[in-house]
Amino acid sequence: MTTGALERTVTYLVLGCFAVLALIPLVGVLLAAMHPSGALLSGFSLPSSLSFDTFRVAWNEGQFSSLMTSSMIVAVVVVAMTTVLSIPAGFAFGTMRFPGADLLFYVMLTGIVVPFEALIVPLYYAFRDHGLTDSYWGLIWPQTALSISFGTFWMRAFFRSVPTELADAARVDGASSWRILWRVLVPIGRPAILTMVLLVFMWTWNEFLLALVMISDQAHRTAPLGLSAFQSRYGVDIPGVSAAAVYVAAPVVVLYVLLQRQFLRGMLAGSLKG
Amino acid sequence: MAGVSFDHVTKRFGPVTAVDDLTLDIGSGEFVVLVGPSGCGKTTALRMLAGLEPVTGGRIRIGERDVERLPPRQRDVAMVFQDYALYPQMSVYRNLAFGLQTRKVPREEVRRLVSQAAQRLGLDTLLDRKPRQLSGGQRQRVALGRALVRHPQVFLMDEPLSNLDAKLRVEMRAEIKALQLETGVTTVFVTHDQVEAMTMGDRIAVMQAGVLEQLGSPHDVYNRPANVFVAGFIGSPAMTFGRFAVIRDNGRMHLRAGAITLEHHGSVDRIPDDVIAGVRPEHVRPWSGEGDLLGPFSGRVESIEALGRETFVGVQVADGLEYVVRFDGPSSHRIGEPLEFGIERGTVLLFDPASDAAIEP
Repeated sequence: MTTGALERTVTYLVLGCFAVLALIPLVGVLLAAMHPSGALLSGFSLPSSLSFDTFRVAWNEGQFSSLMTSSMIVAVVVVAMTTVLSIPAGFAFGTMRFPGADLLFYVMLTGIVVPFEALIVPLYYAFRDHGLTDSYWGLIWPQTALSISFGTFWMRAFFRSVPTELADAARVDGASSWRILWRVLVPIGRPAILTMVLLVFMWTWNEFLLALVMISDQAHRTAPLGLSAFQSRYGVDIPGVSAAAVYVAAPVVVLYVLLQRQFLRGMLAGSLKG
Repeated sequence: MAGVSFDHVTKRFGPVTAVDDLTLDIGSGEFVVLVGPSGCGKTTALRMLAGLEPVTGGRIRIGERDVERLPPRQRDVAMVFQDYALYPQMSVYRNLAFGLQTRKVPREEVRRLVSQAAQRLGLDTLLDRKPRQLSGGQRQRVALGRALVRHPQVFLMDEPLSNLDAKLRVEMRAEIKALQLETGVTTVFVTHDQVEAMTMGDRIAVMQAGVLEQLGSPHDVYNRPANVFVAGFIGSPAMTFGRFAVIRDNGRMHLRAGAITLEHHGSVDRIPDDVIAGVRPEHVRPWSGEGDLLGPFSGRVESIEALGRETFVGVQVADGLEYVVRFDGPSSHRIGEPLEFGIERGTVLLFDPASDAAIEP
């Protein structure tokens, strides 16, 4: 299909407008972070000079070295456990016929359907009784459980999209289901798997409510909780909280940039026939 | 090598019976083609033999072993798929080696066997390439190589040539046949293309709606079809059929449909009062007055199919009968023109309208 010059111009204009709308808040946060810490700001404001001092102050004040370590531990473990468990589960639901498969799958989906807020209070009491609050496991278990719902759903869709002949060929070649999964299907599922890794990492990294409820000691607090350090009874340190927001967002952005190509292929995997 | 036998094998998918009471014995080293229209159950039969589909009832044997409950890896069969099913992330070498490595064949032996198979199929310069870097024909060779390299008891081929262009298909047909003769491995080949079936099979099994309609040599299936379905399915252009009344006259017999009367020689007793008479296009020629032709019959030209060396002209005769007349080389006739033709004596096949079964002459 060819497009005319007018059509192309309109397309660029519309997309450009959306891009600007999406970028304005981000640029605003970056600019705010370049103001001196504690400066009073309202709305979009250009700093008189470029200063990165607020980033240093925010890192120390928010104790981000500890927060980032905690967040990284939780996110890496959740992503690893979700990946290792979702791939075989998605493979089973996507390629095998067994009694109760549909029912089990719908039970699995409740993890996506039921709002997390509805579970958090009973979860807190259950975890407190088992001594899991104020520990990394208090964050890791619930997030892994919820992520597996999504991961299984996602990987099942991938395995269903793979031609069945590929697994059949491997089966006739003598491969067990386990070998078919890891040697034949997982290597071709890299885009889908990396997309899942990115999404789960992002959701785990950004999780705020669970960390707020489960964690009260500083040693186990995660990065999003660090943002609250810049809020006082008298107001919010806008440059400080902006710099902290940049820290919180940075790992996800970096991971996205690294996996961008795979991410897009993964998102398109279900819609386009290879 | 081992023979294969299906013993009253049935496969149902819910209420649908895909394969109905299939009994079929394939000798060791034989090349049998399962042929039939889409949905006739031929691929399902092959998949049951491979172990990719459980049987609903009946037994399958490979050699002396009952295999219907065994997983594919214990059946010692190799399969070539319609879409090749090459592992896209693996090189040609690893595609060929995968089955051997899965069976824990020592590395040196794997190397030797892969190199042997690659050489036989002309793949030795492509071993480092990925499947996406190969042409359709090369992919097909890799798929064949993957089957060949394991030296299995049985080759299973599920329409392996259907994705190739016409020229390559003819080449690969000869290649597969040669390979099978060379290795002597029992082969079950599934196709919907009757030309493939006729040219490749030692025997042909014609299936329809899950039922085996006829099993025989290509010559038998072509010249002595068991019923109307087989007669119409095998042969291109297809056999034409007409409903005729049988007229008995002092021990002689005529078949009559409207203005057409055909003499017929054979036993009068076993023939019902009504028959279906089938004629192959190559037995219908333009009228020349020669003594070996029944006729002349006349009709109007309905269609023309020029193939260069020969031309098939479809003729509509009165009373709804249609025949296809074969011309050597081109034909000067045009659609709508009248045409006189004759049918070679002794070539008309008769079928019982009640059962569709062939009536032996």
